[in-house]
Amino acid sequence: MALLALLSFGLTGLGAIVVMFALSTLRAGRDSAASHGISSINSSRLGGVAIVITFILFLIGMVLLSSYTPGVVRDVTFLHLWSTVFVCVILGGAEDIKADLLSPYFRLVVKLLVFGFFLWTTPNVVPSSIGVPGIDYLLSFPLIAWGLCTVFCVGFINAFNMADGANGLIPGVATIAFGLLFLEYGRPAEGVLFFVCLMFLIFNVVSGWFFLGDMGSYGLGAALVCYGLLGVAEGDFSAGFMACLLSYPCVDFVVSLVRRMRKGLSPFQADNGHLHNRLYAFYSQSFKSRVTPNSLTGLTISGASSGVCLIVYALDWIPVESNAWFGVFGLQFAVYLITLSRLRSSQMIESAAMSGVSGQ
Amino acid sequence: MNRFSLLLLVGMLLMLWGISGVSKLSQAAIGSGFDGSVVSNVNAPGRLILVGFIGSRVASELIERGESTVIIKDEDRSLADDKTNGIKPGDVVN
Repeated sequence: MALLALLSFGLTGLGAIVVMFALSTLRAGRDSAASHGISSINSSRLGGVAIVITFILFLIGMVLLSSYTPGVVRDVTFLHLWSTVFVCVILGGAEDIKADLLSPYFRLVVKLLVFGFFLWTTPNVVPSSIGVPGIDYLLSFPLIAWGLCTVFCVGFINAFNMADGANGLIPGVATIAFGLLFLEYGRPAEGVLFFVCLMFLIFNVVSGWFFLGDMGSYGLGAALVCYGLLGVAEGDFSAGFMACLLSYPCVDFVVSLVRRMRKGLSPFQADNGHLHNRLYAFYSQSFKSRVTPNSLTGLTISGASSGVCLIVYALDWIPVESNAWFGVFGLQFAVYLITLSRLRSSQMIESAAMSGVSGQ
Repeated sequence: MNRFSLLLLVGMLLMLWGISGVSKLSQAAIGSGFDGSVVSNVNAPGRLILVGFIGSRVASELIERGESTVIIKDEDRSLADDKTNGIKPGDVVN
């Protein structure tokens, strides 16, 4: 872990890992292995707190030690954007410190209000078209565009939270996304977020002591959706590119809702039918370690979803403004469905065989 | 001092050391008039120890982009009390 941090970000990275290690020793926010579907070791759900503290420490250092002027000081759009992220971080943090402190409906209403306010006061973040004919027609009406974008933002951070189920899955997606945003814009804020997410990814994947928690998934999800909308609205990249980059949370969210409704369950009832749960069960048969199958699950999914986007971007096969990214997103959707279907059917056959053996 | 505080302090000091190093790189780039020597020198041993392989490239990218994209424009200099008044070409602002 220390070696990976040293190689990637030198003594600075090692410092971030030491800060995260210090936070992981705290008793607050500790969960038993039994309370989670995938994790089989006692972990802390204060990963989001670690990310926020490391990010703030880095920003304070940059303000004190260099001529860095944060975007929130200079640009009102970034002030509103980061205020929205801050409210989401606080909402998630309250849930991490004490589970069910805030009711799900209260959180939903607050998220709707905060994103509604953000998009109302910063209309330049609302895209006027995304390259999909029917939706583009709706986006031509400002009020409908505002409502659609508000619902999309709230849905996205819930999807991000729902997909946070394996070591390195959401941290991997966030690392790639902030890395690409940094390559596109070269802004220090994305550079720092890329650094913090990569250090957390290394810590999370190697040790398994931390998971992101609601604070991390809400905060990273809010930052990504706001930066994504801003980039699409300004025409810097296509909506298809963002869909491709953040495909796993979006596809998993939609498929999970449909799957539960088909079974007659509440669409928001938690279950273990996600692709990451199925893949974890598959890897668990091959690896006896308690951390390896979990981390492999996260890395496989983040690599096969956002990693594909990174490769296509790095090789410059498709321009970021192109709507051809929707085609890549369609392929990712198809791969998700095929993999989920195959893993489900193979695991059903295995469980049927096991029950046959135990019945004899 | 307990273990938690000691670890937190050591971690913070290491991070601040790295940030200070990147800041010095930026100043060196300005001092050399952005001749490319700082930006292209990504594999210097001292720099690799301080900010690593990826960090060294990120720092170069920040300095390079700072030169070409986030130089304070003349109209922004009218912000009287803004600390950005003192910013020189090459300083990053977002």
